[in-house]
Amino acid sequence: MPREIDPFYVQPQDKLEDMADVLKPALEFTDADLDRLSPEAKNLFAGRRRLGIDWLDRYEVVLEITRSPGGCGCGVREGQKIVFDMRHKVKPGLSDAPLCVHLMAPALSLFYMTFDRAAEGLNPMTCVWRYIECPMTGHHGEAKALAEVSLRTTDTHEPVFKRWLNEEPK
Amino acid sequence: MSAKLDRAVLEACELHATVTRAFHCANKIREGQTFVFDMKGRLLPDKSTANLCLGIIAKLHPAILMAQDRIASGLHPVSPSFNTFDCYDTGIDHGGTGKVYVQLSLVDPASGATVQAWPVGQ
Repeated sequence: MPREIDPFYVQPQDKLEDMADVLKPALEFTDADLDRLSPEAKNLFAGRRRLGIDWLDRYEVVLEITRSPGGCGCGVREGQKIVFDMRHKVKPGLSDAPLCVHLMAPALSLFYMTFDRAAEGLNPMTCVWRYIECPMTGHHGEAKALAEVSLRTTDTHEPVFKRWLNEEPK
Repeated sequence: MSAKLDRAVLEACELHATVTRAFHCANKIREGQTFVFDMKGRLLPDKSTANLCLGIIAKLHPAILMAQDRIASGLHPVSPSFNTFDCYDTGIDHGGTGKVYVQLSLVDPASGATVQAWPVGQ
């Protein structure tokens, strides 16, 4: 059954021609592959129309440890950071915390939201889910590491708080 | 088969997630590349050869919890049942873009050799 798509979003006949030259080498796509993309995937890529073709390179996500009682033994300490690019890759050179999988794994959900929000023209960083925690509990959570996440610019590391990163819709 | 390792030796080992297949990956992950973790679950960037994509790293989190559980039970850390994993991207034919598959193994960093499973009960 054909789905109706809100005109704000990418329509089935839209082949993303304006960004094909970027997408094809980046993802090893042929023209046929571009045709095969679901409307949802096309919409995800079309976030570039809202935030600019280079938005993935302009920002970073910073996960800063705010509490680390040391229960899990991985060695994370308050004030340390793990930095990700917007393609959800760790940037080890900018990170000073141990890259603990238990603490990093919950951060993946942030990146579902960054892509979703970019497709809406919003600041990619969620305004709701700004805190994550590792799954270690110890006694009633006393061993748990906590972290706060934020968005910053790649070049100056300035925090990005503005709600809309494109023009606010009428 | 190999002999059961002493606990201290085992905890010095590494878990290697080796890419067995990858396609249309935006993070350019390629077959044969690895994600290397210590036994506490810390990703070791200097030993890993793949781009450190959270889309597969997070998918390995349950595998590392399971490895730690198996160690606590005296078992080989890599489950014979769950030792291959894929990333969160559903792939181009299923609403996503690409896909990465990995196989988990236990590696002795001193020798670089894969530590094979030892007989249950050893």
